[in-house]
Amino acid sequence: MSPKDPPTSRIELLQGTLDFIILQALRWGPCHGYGIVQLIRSQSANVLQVETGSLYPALQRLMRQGAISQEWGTSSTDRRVRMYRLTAKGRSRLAAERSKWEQLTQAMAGLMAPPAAEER
Amino acid sequence: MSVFRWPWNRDRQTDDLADEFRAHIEMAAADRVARGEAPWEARAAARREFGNPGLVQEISRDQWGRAGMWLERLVQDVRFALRMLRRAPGFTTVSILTIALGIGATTAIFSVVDATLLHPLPFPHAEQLVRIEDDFAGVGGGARDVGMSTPEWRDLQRSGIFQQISPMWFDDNNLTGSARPQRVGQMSVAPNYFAMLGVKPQLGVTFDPADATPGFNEQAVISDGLWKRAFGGDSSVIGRIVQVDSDSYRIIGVMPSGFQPPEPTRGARATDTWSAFGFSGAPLSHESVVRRTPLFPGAIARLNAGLTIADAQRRVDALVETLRRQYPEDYPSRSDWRIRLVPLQDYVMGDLRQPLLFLLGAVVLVLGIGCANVANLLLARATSRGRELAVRQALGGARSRLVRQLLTESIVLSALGGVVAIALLLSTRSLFIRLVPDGVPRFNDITVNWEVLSFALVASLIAGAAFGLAPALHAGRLDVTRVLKQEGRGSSGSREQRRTRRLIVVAEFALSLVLMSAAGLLARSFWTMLRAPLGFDAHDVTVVRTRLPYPNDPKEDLYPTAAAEEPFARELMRRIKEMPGVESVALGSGAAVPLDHPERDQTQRHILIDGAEQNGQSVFVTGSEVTPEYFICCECRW
Repeated sequence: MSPKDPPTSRIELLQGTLDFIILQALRWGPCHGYGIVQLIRSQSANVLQVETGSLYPALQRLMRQGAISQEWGTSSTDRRVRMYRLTAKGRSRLAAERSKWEQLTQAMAGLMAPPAAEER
Repeated sequence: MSVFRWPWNRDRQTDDLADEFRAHIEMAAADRVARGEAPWEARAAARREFGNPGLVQEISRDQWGRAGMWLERLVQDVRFALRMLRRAPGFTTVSILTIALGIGATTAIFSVVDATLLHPLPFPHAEQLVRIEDDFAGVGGGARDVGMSTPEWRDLQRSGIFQQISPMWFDDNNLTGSARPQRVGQMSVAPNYFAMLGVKPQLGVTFDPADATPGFNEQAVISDGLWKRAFGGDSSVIGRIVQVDSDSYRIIGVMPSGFQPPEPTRGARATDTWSAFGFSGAPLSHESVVRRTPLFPGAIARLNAGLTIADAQRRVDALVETLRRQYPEDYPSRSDWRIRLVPLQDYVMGDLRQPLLFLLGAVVLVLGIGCANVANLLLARATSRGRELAVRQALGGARSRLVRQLLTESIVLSALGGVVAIALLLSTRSLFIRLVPDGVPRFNDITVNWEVLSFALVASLIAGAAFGLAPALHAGRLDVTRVLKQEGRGSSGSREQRRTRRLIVVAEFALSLVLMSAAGLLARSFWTMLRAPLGFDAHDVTVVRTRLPYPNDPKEDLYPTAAAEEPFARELMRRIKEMPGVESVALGSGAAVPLDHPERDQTQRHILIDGAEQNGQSVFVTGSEVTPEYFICCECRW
């Protein structure tokens, strides 16, 4: 984590959430590991910080499951780097998890609605 | 893309991960530089942010399949085992030699069993080949394999059970017409003999299976051995006329060097010449070929395709039943005549199957004793290694991993023993082969082939697991605190360990006892056999085998009747008697030599004695003709 990040902004990710977030990040096209970290960070407004110790095992696991595939590209620093790409299987899994998450967030939003609104 | 990660890809994939992490850190550093950090600071920060690449790599690799992990651990265990073994050279050498001895002996005997019992005879569709034996089951406790008559042979041929049937007849003859006269083993067979076995000559042709000559067709097929010995391997031998005793034969073919007739005795397998005989004409008399009394010593046959031996035996039994009713004079019910089909492989192996399996059992016991010895050594070593194992457990080594590692160590030890055994076996092959008596059928087929090698491999794996089990299980139950507290104190292991060691010693003793008593019994039987009264005194007795010519054409026979043979016999005995040092002399038929190998005993008579009974059965004796001096000559005592 960089010193700029406020300590309170870090959220422990639930098991299974990380896979969804990675697949979500890869929706925009093939990306390497570092790119995925940056994407998640910027899109979550610096709230979600993925540790490499979680990211890389998750990428290996997703590859083994066939949700993503690998190809070799060149990094901005001119180095051979592994790029990850969503497969058809990964896309359908992403769609399934998305609807699950939408239901969950709606339910959470309902639970967290101010009590005043409830009494009305 | 690779969904499957094969174990041998692991090194490359580990490199891929390392590259990926390096690129990650570089990009992070570059971004920081772009945001205005100093390059060296940026790189350090990027590294810090990334974390421990080694750890990340390890947990990433854990996502790969279990197979790879298993193999990686195995390689680790084997490497560690080799290191441990190298550290104790004395222990390692003794153990490897012990195991090598056991596995070497077992594998050597197995190679003989493999060649003789496990492989079919080297003929096409060998499972169809049978030997036909006639029994008189009802007499004298059962007379087996008494021989066959020509009419019986004809009946079997007509029965539709067999494709071909060939009787056999063995002789020793003088062969002249080659470089120098030779004594040759001659085998008279039906013309379909070679066609039945499905073997081809290396030169020329074999007999025409359709040849219907009642007597000898005066063609000869010779063995590769005789061809090289007497004719120098000259291919112009085909068509050459040779004299076999008083008859002329034309050589028509030479058998390949690998061909041996499928016979149980060494003498019969060493046949040099084959002649085709119809078994129904001259020189046999007309009476002898129409009689239903044994004339030749059995036959070999090929069953019709698709017929099992059991089915064929049922049909033969039915045929025998019919013949018995048809010829009650020839087959009295008290003799209980039967025809038995024996798989040719069993016939060739004869009585050797049991001794071979017995020998295999004995060497397996030797291997077991070796295993027990090494297990004891390993246990003793485990005691001295107790601290090492305890420390490793205290540092977080999983018990299952330790057990597996110790097992790997013993299997590596045993595999090394197996390798040494095979190396010894291959390098001393010629010596070992010389130890096998050449009376063993299919002697030439004994090789160290893949089956033998896999046997050695499996044997060493099993042996390794067997002697490694006890020490490994003990390590799994190690009491870490107790062992660590016993610093510096000499110890002979836990009580449990001592008990296991005692148990192993007991097992070892039991195995040795079995082996010792078997060996003792064997030696005792041998001793008894050596001291058994033979009923005659073999000292200073010499046997000379000869016979009067028996030409194929009866008109050429100088000695057609006993009366014609008499002057020769008397003169022979008179002249031998006059030789210095000869005390007495006697003549007898071929079977008259006591305890002789019966392989060529066609002169033996089977006599059913009328009125004599033993245990309610007719008495059946074998006999031969001798001159009156015979019993004086061999100093018979009874």
